[in-house]
Amino acid sequence: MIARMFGELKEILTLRSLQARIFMIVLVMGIIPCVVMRYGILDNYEERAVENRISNVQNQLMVVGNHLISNNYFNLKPEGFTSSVSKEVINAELEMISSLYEGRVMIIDSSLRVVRDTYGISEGKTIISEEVIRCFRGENVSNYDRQHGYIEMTTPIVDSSMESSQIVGVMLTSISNDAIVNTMEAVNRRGVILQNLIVVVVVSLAMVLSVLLTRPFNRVTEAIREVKEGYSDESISVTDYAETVHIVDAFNQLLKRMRELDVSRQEFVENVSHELKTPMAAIKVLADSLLAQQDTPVELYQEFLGDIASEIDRENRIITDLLALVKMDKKAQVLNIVSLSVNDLAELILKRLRPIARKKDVEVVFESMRPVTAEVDEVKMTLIMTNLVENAIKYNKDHGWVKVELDADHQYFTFKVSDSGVGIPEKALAYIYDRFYRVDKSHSREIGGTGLGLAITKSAVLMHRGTITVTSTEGQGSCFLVRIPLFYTGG
Amino acid sequence: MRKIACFLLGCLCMALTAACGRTENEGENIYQVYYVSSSATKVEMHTHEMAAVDPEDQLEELLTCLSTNPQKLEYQAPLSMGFELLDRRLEDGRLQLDVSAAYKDLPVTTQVLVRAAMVRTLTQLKHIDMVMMTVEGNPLYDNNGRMVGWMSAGQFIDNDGNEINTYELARVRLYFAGESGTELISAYREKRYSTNLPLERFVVEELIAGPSGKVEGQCPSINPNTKILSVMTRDGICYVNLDENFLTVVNNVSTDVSVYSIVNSLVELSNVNKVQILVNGEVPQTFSSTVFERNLDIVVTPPK
Repeated sequence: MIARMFGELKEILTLRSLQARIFMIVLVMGIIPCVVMRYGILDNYEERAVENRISNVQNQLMVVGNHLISNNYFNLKPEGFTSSVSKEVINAELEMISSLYEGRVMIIDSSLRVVRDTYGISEGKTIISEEVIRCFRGENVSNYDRQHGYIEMTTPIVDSSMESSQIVGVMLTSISNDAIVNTMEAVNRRGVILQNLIVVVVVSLAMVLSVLLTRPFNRVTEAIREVKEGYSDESISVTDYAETVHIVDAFNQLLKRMRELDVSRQEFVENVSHELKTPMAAIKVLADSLLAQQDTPVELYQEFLGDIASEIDRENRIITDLLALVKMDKKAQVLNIVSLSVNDLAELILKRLRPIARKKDVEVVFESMRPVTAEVDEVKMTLIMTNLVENAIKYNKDHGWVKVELDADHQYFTFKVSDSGVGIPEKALAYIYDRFYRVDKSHSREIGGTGLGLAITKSAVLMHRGTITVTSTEGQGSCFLVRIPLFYTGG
Repeated sequence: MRKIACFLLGCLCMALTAACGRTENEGENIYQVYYVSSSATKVEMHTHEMAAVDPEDQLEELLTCLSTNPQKLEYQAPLSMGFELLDRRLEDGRLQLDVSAAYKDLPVTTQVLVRAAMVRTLTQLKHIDMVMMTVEGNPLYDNNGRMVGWMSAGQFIDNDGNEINTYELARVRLYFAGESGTELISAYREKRYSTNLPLERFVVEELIAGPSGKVEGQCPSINPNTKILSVMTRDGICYVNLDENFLTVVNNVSTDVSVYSIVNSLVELSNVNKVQILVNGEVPQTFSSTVFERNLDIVVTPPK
């Protein structure tokens, strides 16, 4: 339990868990825009506010500058000019602006002398700041000193009454940005509160979402575990997401296949026991009847013992086939691949089977379109061909025919066996490769065979990465077509 | 091994640079020579190591520097801008320079910059306090018809770096609370401050910042969290607008002491006679009067 919890914790920390990922994604998507917005807006606000302030004050100062000119502040007007406003009144006005903007105003005349300083520190001195000189040349300078909270600017005083308007003085002004800083602080405080609120909301949202969104997956795990433990046998269903539906569908198919396998294994065991029992029963009956009779003639003994021997042979054949099948079913089956002429192999097999065919008077025809050389396992290939041709002969009418065709293209060779036999009913076609399956249970005895031939053939074909298909009409005959690659590509 | 070698090398370098720095600081005969920038917008200084010992020779050497263009093209020597130095006369630390009429042909601002560069360079010499310029024997007038007269280095205001306005050294008398919280102790404080600020504001800021700790027995008289909303002076009355933190006193300091630490400190300034203290723009009800005058009754002299 504790180990499992540690495992889950580790998964969460290394972000391997989907829940942790959803949590992080929601968290990041929620918080980052919030922080970016706060700083973005604040920065923009400061910039805009300072710009605004500067342009406002510049405007005001321009007006004051014109006022200075029209009231002969610099004594530039010709002799006898009387201004309506005295110098003292103008000074008071400057004082007013200075205290209104919490700043300092200096008025500098064209010979760089400070004519008026509202702080009174620098009056009468000569100022040689670069900014002032530049302003006399027509370049306005404004500077925001964030550290000391001051905005500084130069404003030219232009006398437009002369023929060519001329800069006769400069105002050097510095104003406090306390108001802006205070507003910023208030906005920032509010921003911080809102941001913290959003962080709390986003964190809880992320937690809830991460749990809610991953719940169907947990349900899938839970359902599968239940099936595994054996509490439930039914197919599971979690329909919340398309993804979970896919997972569950795949799982259900797997479950179905497992069940089918289980059923077929049970059947197989049943069939094997049955098939193995039949010859034993026959032997038992024969032996019993010999034992029951007194003074049995030697001929009868010989006849019955002959029958017993043939039953033992049958039993032996079944066991041999079973062993062959089991061997082929083993996963780690190694094919002994050699390059050989398939034509020669087919000829050899047909020669071996001709005596059986002759007994039923079945005509066996071999048609080879071209010489075929393929990389196959000789033993397995022999099994395939023998089984197919033998079946075609056995399940044939008297005086019937069997046609074997061999052909090849650049990738595959095909081995086709068609006959004029009894054929296979359509509904039986799906089961003919099953072990011990018999189309006609009543005739199987006289025909012989173990019911394993086609199962062996099919697994041998699959081992060669080939395919086997069958077409058949009941009463007219069947046709098996085997396609096997010319070059072995497996494992 | 290599690391140790690197470390030793680093130490050696540091020792060397430190040694270099010392020799430079110790040099007594380093003078600054001021030049005018080519764009004629500012003066720029360059260090010059004085070779001469005799005062007269030193003056001669500086004048030579002022008339030779520096190697960099960005600056020009003030005495090589088209006019000539005709004559010079030194009397009682006052140097009179006579220049040719070509000087008056320079642009007005350039004339001022040339004057500033010459005055600042020459008044560094111990035997020169002031400089006057004449043009071919006649007194120099500026373009508003005002006589220029004697000039000292302090007459020219300049700034360094980003600020348009300058820093000045202020010497103010500040009153802080004593240990008991019922009396005031005064101390002088000298500090450079930006002339963007009114001196009154600077005083209040320093009071809020608290005592420097150099004078024994001084305690903060105002809550250090107090914020200044505005400080301005009109007709000799200084209006100090503070936020509500001012009313929350610290260290058992009585309200009277807080108030008079501000009032007494501000009244020390020449342009302030009375002080009105506002909290968030209003007169607080707890105050006995609206306008305060100097009160020296609660001031004690610090024990020597």
